[in-house]
Amino acid sequence: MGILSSSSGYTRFRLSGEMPDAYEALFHLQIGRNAFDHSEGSTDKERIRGWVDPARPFDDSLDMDSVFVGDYIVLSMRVDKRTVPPRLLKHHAMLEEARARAESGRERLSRRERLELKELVKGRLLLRALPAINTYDMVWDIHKETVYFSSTAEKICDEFSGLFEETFGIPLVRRYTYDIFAEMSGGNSSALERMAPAQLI
Amino acid sequence: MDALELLKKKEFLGREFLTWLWFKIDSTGGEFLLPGGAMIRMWVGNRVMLVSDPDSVDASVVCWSEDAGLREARFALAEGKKIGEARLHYEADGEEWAFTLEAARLDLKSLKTPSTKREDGEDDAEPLALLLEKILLVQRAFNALDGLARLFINSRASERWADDEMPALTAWVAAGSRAKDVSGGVR
Repeated sequence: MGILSSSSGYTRFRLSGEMPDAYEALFHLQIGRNAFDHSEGSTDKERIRGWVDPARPFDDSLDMDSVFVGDYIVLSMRVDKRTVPPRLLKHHAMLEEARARAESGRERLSRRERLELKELVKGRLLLRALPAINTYDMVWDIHKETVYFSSTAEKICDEFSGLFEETFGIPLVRRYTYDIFAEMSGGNSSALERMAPAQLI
Repeated sequence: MDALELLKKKEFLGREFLTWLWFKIDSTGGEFLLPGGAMIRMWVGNRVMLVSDPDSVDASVVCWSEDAGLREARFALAEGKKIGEARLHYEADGEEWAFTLEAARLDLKSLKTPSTKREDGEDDAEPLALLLEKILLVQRAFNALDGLARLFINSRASERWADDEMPALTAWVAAGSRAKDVSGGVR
């Protein structure tokens, strides 16, 4: 789902911090540092994320000419998620425990040893797992200090605002109903604070 | 009051906004002159979600209808349910936008903008031009939402609200109770 899809959900964020001077050169560097690491195509991490080109999410390189578009910064957050089926993990962990018991000559392993073996097995299986790949687009209107993000899911929005702050050093605030009304009322927040629900029936 | 507490306490404004929008659409034919001068014509789509208890989605009821009147939803409103989200369409300059508006956040869910050149089959359009065109179409939807929010909140904060708007809105909500026997489905 993204900006070029025929239908997509959007969340709006506003910046909660100042734009640095000469931001373009600085952001080039910071976006590059937080770009999706394609070398992690085979990894033992369950979830990896980073910036990609919205039109070319599988490309290794991120062309800055397509990132800085007029008054906008356009990027996609790519999230790769790998999972190991629980029954497969249990089976392989039991095999590994049996091997460890045979090698050590002990009848039982400690709880800690079993947990460590399970993590080891999980890491090995993750290396062989194919990721589920999702991309979510963001459009940052530099002058309006507004960011549009192509998902409304709470968890994805949290992950996005985390990546945004790590990259640009500026916290994002999600626009909520009250926040929008406060802005639209021209700063008449005291009238808004006094408002009580209307009795419609 | 801290910020989170304030957001929670004022969530009712989003539900009132959606109710007011539907009332205005019904009573004015859906034409809104937005601050800034843009004219749009809005209508309610085929899906409205109503909630009994705003804190619980378990107590929600979704009304669907091919009939734009959505009379079952009007009946539920008259029974005291609140609008949690609604599918809305609007037309401006001969083009149509559609989105689902959620009361709690005013995010635009399932936003469908007018088609861009590529969607129209013009494959030779520049990718960058397409992207910019699409960005502007998305921003126009948010601008329309902001304009409507401004109309509502200015009316809600004015003296006119208690004297004119609120009695008319209450009468419109009550009139929904007489609409149950007409078409419109609940599932």
